[in-house]
Amino acid sequence: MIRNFFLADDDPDDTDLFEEALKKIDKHIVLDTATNGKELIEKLHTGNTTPEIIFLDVNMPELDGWESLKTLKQHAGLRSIPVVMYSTSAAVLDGNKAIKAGAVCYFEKPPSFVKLKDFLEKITHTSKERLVDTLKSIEASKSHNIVVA
Amino acid sequence: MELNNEQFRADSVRNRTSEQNHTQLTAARFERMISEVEDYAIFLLDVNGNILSWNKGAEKIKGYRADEIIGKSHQLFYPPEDRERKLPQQLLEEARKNGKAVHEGWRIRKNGDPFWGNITITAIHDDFGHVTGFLKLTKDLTEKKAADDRYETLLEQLRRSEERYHKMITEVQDYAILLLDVDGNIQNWNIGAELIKGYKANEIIGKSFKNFYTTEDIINGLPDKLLKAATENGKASNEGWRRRKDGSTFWASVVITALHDEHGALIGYSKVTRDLTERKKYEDRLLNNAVELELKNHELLNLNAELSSFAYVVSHDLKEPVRKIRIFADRQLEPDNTMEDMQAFARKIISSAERMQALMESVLLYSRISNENMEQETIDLNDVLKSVKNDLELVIQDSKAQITATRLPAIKGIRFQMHQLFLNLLSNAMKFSKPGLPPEISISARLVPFSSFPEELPLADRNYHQIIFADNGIGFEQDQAEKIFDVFKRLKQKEDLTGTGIGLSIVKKAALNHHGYVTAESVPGKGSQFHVFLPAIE
Repeated sequence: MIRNFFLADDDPDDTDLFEEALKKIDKHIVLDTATNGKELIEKLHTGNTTPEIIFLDVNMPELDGWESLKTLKQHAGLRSIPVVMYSTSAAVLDGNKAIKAGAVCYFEKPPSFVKLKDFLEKITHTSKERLVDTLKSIEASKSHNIVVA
Repeated sequence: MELNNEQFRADSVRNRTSEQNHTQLTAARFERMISEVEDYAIFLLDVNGNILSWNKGAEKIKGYRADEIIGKSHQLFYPPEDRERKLPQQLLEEARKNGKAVHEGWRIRKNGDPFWGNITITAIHDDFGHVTGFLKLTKDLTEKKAADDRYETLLEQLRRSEERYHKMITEVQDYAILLLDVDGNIQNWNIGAELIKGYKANEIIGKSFKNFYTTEDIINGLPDKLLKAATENGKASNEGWRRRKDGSTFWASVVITALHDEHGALIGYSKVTRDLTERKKYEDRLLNNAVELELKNHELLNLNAELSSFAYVVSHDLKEPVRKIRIFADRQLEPDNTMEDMQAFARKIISSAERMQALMESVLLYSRISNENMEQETIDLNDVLKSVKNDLELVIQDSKAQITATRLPAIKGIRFQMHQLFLNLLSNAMKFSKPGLPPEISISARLVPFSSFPEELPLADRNYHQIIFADNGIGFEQDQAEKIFDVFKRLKQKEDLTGTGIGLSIVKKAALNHHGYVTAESVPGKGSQFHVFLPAIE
């Protein structure tokens, strides 16, 4: 069961929605947030947070999603944390780029709160080991705009 | 020959002197000597022209033996046409009158062959002055005559060939072919020269070839340099603008060749000139086309980059508020909403819609920064700055901003775009000022040297104005210096700022549209400098 989430996103609305969705799924789920990639990396380095999965918005100031992903994948201690690229841009546009850069999947920000909650719920119900399988089944169900490795 | 005749006459007179015995002996010896002479025919004629004596030379030249010819008329030696016009009689008559007759002409040998004879007939007088006969002396000059004739023929051929050559040069129309003396003065003139340079022969011969050069070339000493090069290297070539008589110019291809006499001394120069104006114009047109093509290509590349950034704008930036409107509208439909929840969602929807509108207006403004159907005009950037400061009057007052500027240049361009460029750079500088520190913005301009151009500038051979906007604001990390110009790119978090992030994109697009460029440099906390490059008016 995945219980520790991290979201890096500069959009306060999206951060609020994300947090609310997780709370509604299970109020014991831990969410840490950063408003850009730089803050994310700093928080990870200080060791105060140990996420099991990281959601990365693409368009962020300072260090954007792509640069953050690259930094994470170059770092031995952080490389193993699965990263979900999480952005408004269409999955068909940026999906493959995300996979190539080492993300576990690209998840297009959904147009409803229910869908977001549904997706996160499926993540919380799986284990770190079965994460990819879960994502693949979501992709196969076509219930979300997602590209999986 | 002359001497011989005189002597002979003197001797014949002396025959009748008192020293008769001695003289007779001498005369006999003399006669003997004459008869032995081989190179000259020497013989005596009576008053009627009949032959009285014969010598070896006569036999050798004319082919008759003495016994065959003595007593016959000397007319025998003349060709029929000379006999007919009584040349033999005339010559005797002349000798009778003047004492002597000299003639050169064709004579006939015994075997009928002609020979070229040089003849002197001298009259012999008695003591009373009566003519008693003639001494005729003939030399065979056939070989000399033949040599003379050959020489004449050669001379004639040479003369004709020279004439043909001269005519040929005179008639050539496509080339000006001139001879110059060692000082560069014109010696001859052909039709080509007249057609190309416009002078008639009598107007220019004797004058210096410098007349064809432009004032600038003469000041730079080009004509002398060419003559010097031709003298040193045998030949000098040059292409350049030359002047016609009427002052108009033509593009000339010139070859000057040094001419030497047989001892190798310089005697002058030949100068061949072609008018290549049409070719030059064609080449220049090609070059201009290439430059234009390069600019168009550059514009296309910019347009292409712009199109892909538009695709991104649509796929991301415009999509974002729509997604949020959908989410919050959807949430309003949730069954257990409180009144506060409903109002919060409504506010989110409204702000998303507002953001959407702002973005669309930005995109519209950005698309208006286009060269389509825009008239270029000369724009005084001082005026642009003034009107932008006017637009920003309230912001300047509120922020207590100090804006100083040195004298700015005038450029060729589109006023609206320059206005937007200044507007966005100034409002940006004020927007990103340090809290509690009134913005100080200084604007200066300079003409940049070739070497310091950013490589993105499309026209490397042109002068550019560099306009520097320096502020004392918060600045940014230098590695963001290119990104800040991207469409809708913001370096600060969304909640921190007003605006859409299109301002610097508009600055960049306006600069690019003017075949210029914009760069930025900054140290965080120390302020930023924006460098706008715009082509100087030529």
